[in-house]
Amino acid sequence: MSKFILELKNVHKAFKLDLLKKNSFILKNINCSFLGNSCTVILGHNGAGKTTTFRLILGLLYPSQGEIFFKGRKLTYKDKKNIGYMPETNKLPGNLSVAEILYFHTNHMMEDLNKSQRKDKIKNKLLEIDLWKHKDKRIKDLSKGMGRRISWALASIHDPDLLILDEPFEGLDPFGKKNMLEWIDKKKEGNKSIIISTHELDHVLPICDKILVLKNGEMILCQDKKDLLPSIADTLTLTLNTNENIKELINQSQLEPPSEIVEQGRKVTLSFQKRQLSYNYLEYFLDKKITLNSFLANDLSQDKPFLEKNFKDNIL
Amino acid sequence: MKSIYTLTKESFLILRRGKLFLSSLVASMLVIIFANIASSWGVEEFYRILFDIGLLGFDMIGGMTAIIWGTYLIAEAQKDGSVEAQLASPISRNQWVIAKFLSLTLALSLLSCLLVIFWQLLMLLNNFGWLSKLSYLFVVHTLGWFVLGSCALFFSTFCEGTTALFCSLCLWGMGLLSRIVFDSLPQDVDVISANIIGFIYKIWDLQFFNISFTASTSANYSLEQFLWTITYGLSILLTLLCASCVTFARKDIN
Repeated sequence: MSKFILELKNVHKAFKLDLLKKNSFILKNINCSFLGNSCTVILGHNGAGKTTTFRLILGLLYPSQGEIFFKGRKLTYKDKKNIGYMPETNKLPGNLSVAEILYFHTNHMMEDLNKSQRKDKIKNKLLEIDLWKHKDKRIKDLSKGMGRRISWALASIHDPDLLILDEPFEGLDPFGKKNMLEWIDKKKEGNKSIIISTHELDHVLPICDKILVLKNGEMILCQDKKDLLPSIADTLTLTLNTNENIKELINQSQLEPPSEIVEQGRKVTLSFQKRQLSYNYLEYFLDKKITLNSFLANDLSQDKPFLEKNFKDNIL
Repeated sequence: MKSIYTLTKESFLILRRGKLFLSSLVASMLVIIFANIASSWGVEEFYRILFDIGLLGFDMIGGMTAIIWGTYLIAEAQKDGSVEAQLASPISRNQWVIAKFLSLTLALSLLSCLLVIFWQLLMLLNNFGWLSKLSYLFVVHTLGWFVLGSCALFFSTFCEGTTALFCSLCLWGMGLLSRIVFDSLPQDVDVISANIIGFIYKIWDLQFFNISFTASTSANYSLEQFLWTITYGLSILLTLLCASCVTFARKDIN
């Protein structure tokens, strides 16, 4: 049995635009594998082939070449019981209620449940996504954000081994995005694999383990985040504005030195690979009662300009 | 099997709650009311007027509903993306098509039952008695709806909605006219044309399901004829269903 939950081997996808014209390749030679207990982010420009890749995995499209394996075996429709999918836009039948949609979905995905177990499962899920009081409302009467939450519920209610999320933050308010991140992070436990396609890199970078980049239908990168971006894997910087001699204070302390010290007059920027070390230094400076005019803690994994400069320019 | 049952139930609910169900029901009821009123115009021919007009409305509205539903179930599902959510569950393409077909027949059966009940109520109100022996009429006419619906379903597995609708309507017209055209062929027509028209008439004759004349005249409609009609209808249904499964099996869902 393969250790990978999902493997794509030499996958190509071509479309025939015209009877007389040759095939046009949307995806070429995609080779990647996804482990359990991990979160992979798929990045790419519009039309790079992200959604096409998901559709191939879900069997909505058939590969022109290559094969897709799920837990070591060729992927069949029966394996979809262990796959959860959240599409880019809400694709829900408007005339069904929230509870009905979940009921039919759990009938497909969790055949073994009895009536009361199914009822409990649906209730718990609706409480989790805060839609219990809307359970009898028709989908067409709900807002887009509520629809996204239902899409998430449909993708995750059956506790799948593989979760595919296509732009999960689309249409959500900041509070909704925060909730979505928390739900995704929780799902990583228990040997689950999560694949996310998003343009909001700064949101998912803290929770992802692997980055896959598609460009014009080709996979140009598939690497662990910590190998690709070691300097921002878990970094924090402290920028201190002080008259004190920070370097001397650091030498006097018994703490591990910061990875980088940049002095610009009274402004000193300390970079740390470990967040805890930054907290220890801050505590040390406060214990020493040094005069701080200001300080700024900056999480580089959330720093958009930093990411765009160091990451996107090099890759995309 | 459970997947087919679940998806059938889901699709049936969607059809039943759609606006077209109520509209078709009301429109058909109005035609039946009109037929009842019109039947009082002719003292001796009241039965004939009732069934001629009534079943014409039954066929036209029911047939149109069947075609629109058949198109809606697949083509519109692809357009609005709900097919993705359904096919992302552990259901094969063939099971999906079969479930859609079953939900269509279920919804059409419900519509037909409601109309028959309404028809019966009106007949009782006008002292026309019970339908009883004439209930086979509605079975056969409803089977005609199923055939039209499955035809639309077949086209929508590989065409977009408007094209499927157009093709289904054309085939409906062709099916209604094939017998008339064949019967009115002149004797000096060339053999090839006659054979082609004859072939089309034999495999696609929707007038086969129009047996309103058995109610309005004293023409006999034997059990053998009834079974033959059912067999013909079921064989077309099965053929269209198999063809739908084949065309949908390898289709890319974009």
